[in-house]
Amino acid sequence: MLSIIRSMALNGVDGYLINVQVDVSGGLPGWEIVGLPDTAIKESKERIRIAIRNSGIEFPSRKITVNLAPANTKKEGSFLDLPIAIGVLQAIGVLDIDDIDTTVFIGELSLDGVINKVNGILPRCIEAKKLGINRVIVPKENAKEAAIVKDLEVIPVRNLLETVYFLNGTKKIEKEIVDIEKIFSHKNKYKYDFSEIKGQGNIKRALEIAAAGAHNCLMVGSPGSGKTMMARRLPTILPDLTFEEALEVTKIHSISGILDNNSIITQRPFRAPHHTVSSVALIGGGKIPKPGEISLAHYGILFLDELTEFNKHTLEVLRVPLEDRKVSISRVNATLTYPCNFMLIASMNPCPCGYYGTKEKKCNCSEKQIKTYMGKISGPLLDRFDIQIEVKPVDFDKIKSNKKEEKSSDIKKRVDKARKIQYERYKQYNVFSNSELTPKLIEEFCILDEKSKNLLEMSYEKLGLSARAYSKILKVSRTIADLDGKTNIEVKHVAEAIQYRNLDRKYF
Amino acid sequence: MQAKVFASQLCLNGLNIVSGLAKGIDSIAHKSTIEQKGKTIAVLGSGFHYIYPKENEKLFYEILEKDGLIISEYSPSVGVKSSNFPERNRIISGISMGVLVVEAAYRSGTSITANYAKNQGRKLYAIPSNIGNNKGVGTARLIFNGAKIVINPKQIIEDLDMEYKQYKKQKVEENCIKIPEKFKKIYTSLKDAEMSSDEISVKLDIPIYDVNAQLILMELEGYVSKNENGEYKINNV
Repeated sequence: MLSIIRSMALNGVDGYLINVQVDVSGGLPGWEIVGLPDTAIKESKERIRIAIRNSGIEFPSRKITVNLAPANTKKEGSFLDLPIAIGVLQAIGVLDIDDIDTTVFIGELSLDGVINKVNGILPRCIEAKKLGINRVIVPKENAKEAAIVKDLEVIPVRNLLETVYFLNGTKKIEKEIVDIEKIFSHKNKYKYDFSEIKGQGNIKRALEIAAAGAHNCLMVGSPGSGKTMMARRLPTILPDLTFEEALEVTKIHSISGILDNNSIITQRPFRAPHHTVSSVALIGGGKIPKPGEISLAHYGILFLDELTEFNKHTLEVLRVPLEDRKVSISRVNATLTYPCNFMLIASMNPCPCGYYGTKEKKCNCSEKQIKTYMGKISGPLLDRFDIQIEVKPVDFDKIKSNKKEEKSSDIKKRVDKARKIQYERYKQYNVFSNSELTPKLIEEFCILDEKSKNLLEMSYEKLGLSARAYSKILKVSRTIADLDGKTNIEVKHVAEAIQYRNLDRKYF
Repeated sequence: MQAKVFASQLCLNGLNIVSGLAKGIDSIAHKSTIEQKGKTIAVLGSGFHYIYPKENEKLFYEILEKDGLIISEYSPSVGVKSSNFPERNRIISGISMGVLVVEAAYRSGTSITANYAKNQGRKLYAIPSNIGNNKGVGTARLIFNGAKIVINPKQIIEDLDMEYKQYKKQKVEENCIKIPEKFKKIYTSLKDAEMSSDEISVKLDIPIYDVNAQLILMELEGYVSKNENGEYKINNV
């Protein structure tokens, strides 16, 4: 007898429907799974056979054929255990499910019949809902994540036997409900706060501007000057994730299997890969393609500590994703696209010994050494940083002082306001922040008056700014003007923006 | 900064400034002499076809254009060789009436020049500086060994039995009158100590964004400049 069970597989960040067709017929006892299964799916035969037997149901000793339609795409992972098992039970008549066409099964089986969690539940459920499915049966541990999808009945199941009872109507299982509004109201509980940092007003201001305009930011400073500490606190002043953004972020984290609270992610992600990271781990890929660090940092922050220690090749692969805000991974049989709209924050030392330009310790590096060290970062990559600042260690006296430092929430209010202005201004251009401005839009929206133009010209001559700094200064001064609530860019905004181009002046 | 003050005042008083076209104090001495329309001599440690360091190629031609002189004991095709540079220092001291040491590390080319000057019977002056600073140690040793300590250009001129004339000396207070009202607060606070923008902001209780903007404007107007530690200081020449 033939049965058809539905399940969802993944392609990139999107799910697609799979029909699991199970036929149990006479002949020599045996199993066959067709439809381009990978090793994990082929092995599922053993898991399913033993799980069914251990659940107290007699396993048919007949010929079983399973087809995974569409048969021409590769399927991978263990999530098909449950649908195949249900298909077998349906085919031999243990089950008789009515609304089988609108129910999706996802789950991995253990030998004792327990259903284990799988990765990427959320994107599968989102797509299932779009395709008209109204009930999903998922592992208990994944239920919270699946329940984020509106108007989708999510049945959490713990083991195979329970599932069978439920489907036969002998046991009731409450559908999983998640109160999204409640989760979102708890969202702003960050471990860190900017008020914990004494002094460093200059860097705080620079990061505020970076947050307000979504500008990439490079911090240069000696060891122990607080670069990492600053970067960790940056998410606390970024605007809140909207529900749509949160869904997208959760989708990517779900596929990677690093969703820790098993529900929707409400905070902007902060990813800080170690400098030994490979280029594949950074941008995504692999034999079974997975999103890389840049996609995990989608709508959040990618923090590269000790930028000069990264493999040069690894850094160069960042260039295209930084422009396109998505990354395409091409393989022989498929091309996957992962979104990666992130803010890049990087930190580095000013020289090999780390103390160039500081008071507390003498730098022993020769000029040539410093040049080589700085040369590790290519010009094109450096171009992607709108803001470059020097970080100085704080004097002990200042750390001691009792001066009240501004709280993250206060800074965030200003950032939110500036972002709103930008959102309104660029509505029709599909641009959300000043950092995304194209040369044409810069011409249109970053207009300087005579005085500011003179100032910029003068600074080129006297301060030795490089030509590539020009558009960056315009963009950053636009953000500063937005923070100030001004429609036009004024002299003081441009002057301040020039302050955040330290590297152009000092090192290169 | 002291190099600039001394070079400009000495050349205004009719002395020719001799140096080695190297980076740092050498370039400052040449440049500030040219600025004051004085005369300067650069002694090379390589042939004329090999200008070293490359950054000073522009300065090389500027000196020639502005009535200066370039000397080298090597034929034009002799390349850059590190041992030739201490050698040429004997010419620098030899053609001069006296040698003024502005900065010298403990073991440096400057100390070698000072040695030559002593053996050649030239006068030796040194400007005292912080011995905590690596570049102040050498001058301190020279003073200890008998170099004349000088704290203004006048002392050198008078030591050479010439009459000193002060040319447009500007004090901080006089400068203050000229600077616009809005910069005054920051400018006067920098009088006592060199400070970073952060420190200024905390000390004067002005928001950091105002401080940053004003400092750039002041820097462009030439009132202040940034030192190598990223701190701001006032320009008083």
